[in-house]
Amino acid sequence: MLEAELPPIRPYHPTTFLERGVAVPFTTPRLGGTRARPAKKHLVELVVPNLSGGRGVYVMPWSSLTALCRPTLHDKVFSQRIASVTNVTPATIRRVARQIAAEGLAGEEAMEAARVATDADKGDRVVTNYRLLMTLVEQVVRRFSPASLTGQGSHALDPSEKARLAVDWISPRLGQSTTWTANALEELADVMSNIGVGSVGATGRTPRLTNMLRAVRTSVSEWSDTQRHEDQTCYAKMFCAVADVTLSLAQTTVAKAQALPDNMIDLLQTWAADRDSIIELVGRPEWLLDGWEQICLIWNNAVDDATRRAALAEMATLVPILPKEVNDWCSMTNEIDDVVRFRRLINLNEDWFTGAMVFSLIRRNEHFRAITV
Amino acid sequence: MTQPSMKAAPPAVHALRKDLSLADDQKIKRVIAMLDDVADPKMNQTLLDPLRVRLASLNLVRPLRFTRLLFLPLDPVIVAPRDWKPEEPAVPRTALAPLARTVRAGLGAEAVFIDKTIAGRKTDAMQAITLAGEALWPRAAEVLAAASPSDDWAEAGLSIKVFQPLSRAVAAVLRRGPQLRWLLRDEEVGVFESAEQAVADILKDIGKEPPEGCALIARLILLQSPHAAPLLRRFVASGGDQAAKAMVRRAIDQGTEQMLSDMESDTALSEELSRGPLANVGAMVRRITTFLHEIEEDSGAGIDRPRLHAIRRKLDHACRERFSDGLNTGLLSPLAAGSAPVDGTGQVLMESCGRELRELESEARKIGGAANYDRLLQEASAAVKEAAAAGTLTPVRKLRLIEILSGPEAAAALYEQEIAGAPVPRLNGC
Repeated sequence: MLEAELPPIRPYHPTTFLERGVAVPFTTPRLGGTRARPAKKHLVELVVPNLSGGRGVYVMPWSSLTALCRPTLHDKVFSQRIASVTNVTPATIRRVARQIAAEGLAGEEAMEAARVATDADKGDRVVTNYRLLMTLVEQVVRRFSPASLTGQGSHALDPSEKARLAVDWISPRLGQSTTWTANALEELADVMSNIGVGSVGATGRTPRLTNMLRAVRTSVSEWSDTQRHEDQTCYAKMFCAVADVTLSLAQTTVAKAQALPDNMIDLLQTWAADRDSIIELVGRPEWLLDGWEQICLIWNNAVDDATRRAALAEMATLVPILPKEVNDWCSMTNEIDDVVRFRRLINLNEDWFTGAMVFSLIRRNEHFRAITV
Repeated sequence: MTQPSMKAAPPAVHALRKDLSLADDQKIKRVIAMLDDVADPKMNQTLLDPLRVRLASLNLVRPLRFTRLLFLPLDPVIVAPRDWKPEEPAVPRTALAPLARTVRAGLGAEAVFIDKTIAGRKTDAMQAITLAGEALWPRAAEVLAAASPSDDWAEAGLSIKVFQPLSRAVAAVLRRGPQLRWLLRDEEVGVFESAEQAVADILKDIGKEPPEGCALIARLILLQSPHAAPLLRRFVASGGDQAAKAMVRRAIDQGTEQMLSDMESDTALSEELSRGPLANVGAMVRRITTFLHEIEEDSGAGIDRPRLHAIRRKLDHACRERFSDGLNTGLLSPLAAGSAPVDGTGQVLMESCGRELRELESEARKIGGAANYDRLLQEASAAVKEAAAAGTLTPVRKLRLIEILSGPEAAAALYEQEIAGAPVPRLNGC
């Protein structure tokens, strides 16, 4: 697409999370806050914040990225890889990001982190699968007291044997084979490992991110109390207001998702009949928190007042807009509208995105890739 | 550890100083770490004074001690006693220890908060410096403004007559320490939104300060935060206290003249650029070019353009030398010497070096030498490709270095040629 053919700037008020798109962790400073979303003909288009810091966004096919700026090789490859992704979700974009990081295109630190993260994810899935199995055992014993699990000698069974017996017992009552049930529990573990299940709830990716956002929100608020410049307090108020709504919504949606294993039989039956509804419900916190990790890292990377002033100005341009779809999840219409109206866009000093400082910013963004990958 | 007495064993000290002057960077770092543990200011001064320029190039992180924190706002204008002249806006290093003791005695119990805030911290603890500095500097200014020479002033090796003008001048700076630090950090970070407020705070009641103090303040702003120079000029051009405006005008002129003279001296500019850590050199060049631009804009300064032109030529020359030297040391030599494939650590070092060189080059080409930098960068890219062909670099490591040296387009073209064709594993769920 020629530069002259770039789409005009227009208001940006996404109705759904999918329309808002998924945050893409590009390393090019100018592309901070860019999102990817499905377009026509099974392609993906990019939603790039207005480069001048003003209102509106650029909506463009991935191939037009170079008409807008000089993307890093990492970003060019990234945009090519996501061009054909058919299921745009935070999880799929994260997988692509990790793959590219593992190839080394975001630097040595991110490459090493990607390898470690892949192992950690496998571990999270194994732990979640184990928790689901043990929850199933506990519920089957408590509700049905089957002889195989409560009879003489059952106390000597090891956890894996108990799990096998529980699956054996419940499968015919679900109208499924034992293989189906075992597979379903593994698939559910895959879907639920991000939000955490049972006592490992706090170690899932979503609870960790929620905790980080809560800590950053507190830190921003405390810091802004010591500031006398109106701009700083204004950005801080806006950030805290949107963070509060997001945290409140995240808490509600995480609680709903984490409550699913409270009735394992219902969960397995729903998984058999309408697995998409489970995936959608469990995926809500990720959609809500999408884009906040980068914002938190920018704040946490700031070491003193000067860097915090700069960080807050950058964060203010990245705060995600809450789509109206969130009203279907919780009844907070007025508050959300207020927050969105309060959102202000600001202009950073040009040096941040162009001059020599661009090299430092790319290095910082690659460091963020290593942390989040 | 037994501490050697400097006065008792001058030959040993001389021998140690000679050893240090010949030591490599790693040995110097180890010695500094030992001296920091000992925390004896006299020993530090005796051993380290001859190495000050070299220490700057090592970018060392040192323990954050009371005296170091106290004089942080004055750091760029602290000079060796032999280089100090009473009429110039500078502070002799030998005066620091007696002045610090005067401040500490004057603070009394208030020093406890400072000590607690900086305990165990180092000079990279930015927020601790800001916090402790905001508490210390204005109070230290009050103490110094009212102080008389202490019994140990002779230790500074300066006349008793020097004490009062020097301590009053230092007090004028410390009174504005938090605002000067604000300006400095904004310049380093690259945000200038609040410079106007900071300069207004600095110039508040400036007419009550001695001219020596005003000259130090102006020099510090021109040196560290040249983007704020127009705000000083605006103050001079505004209505109000004529005497204060005349003093600020004189201070700007004195600070400007001092900086230009330093740059014109045979070694200062090239030494600063050649010895400074590569990571800081780009920012250093940016500050100098901003300063030169600002005084060109200052019609009241009356600086001859040929004089500025000569300094720019000198700066251009120094930048080219630094770039070439940095390229050889940080990239070309490691690539040429590599008998084994470069590992992750080696790659990170080369990437850092490449980015720091690009930061320098981005600023330096504004003064001149664009074709020279382009040529050197092309040669460096060629060396990277040769190293990759010889098996020293993996394809992706080669691409990363090419991207840094020649830009993302060059790296993307290579990627298309060499890697894009390779199959990419299909991702589940995509």
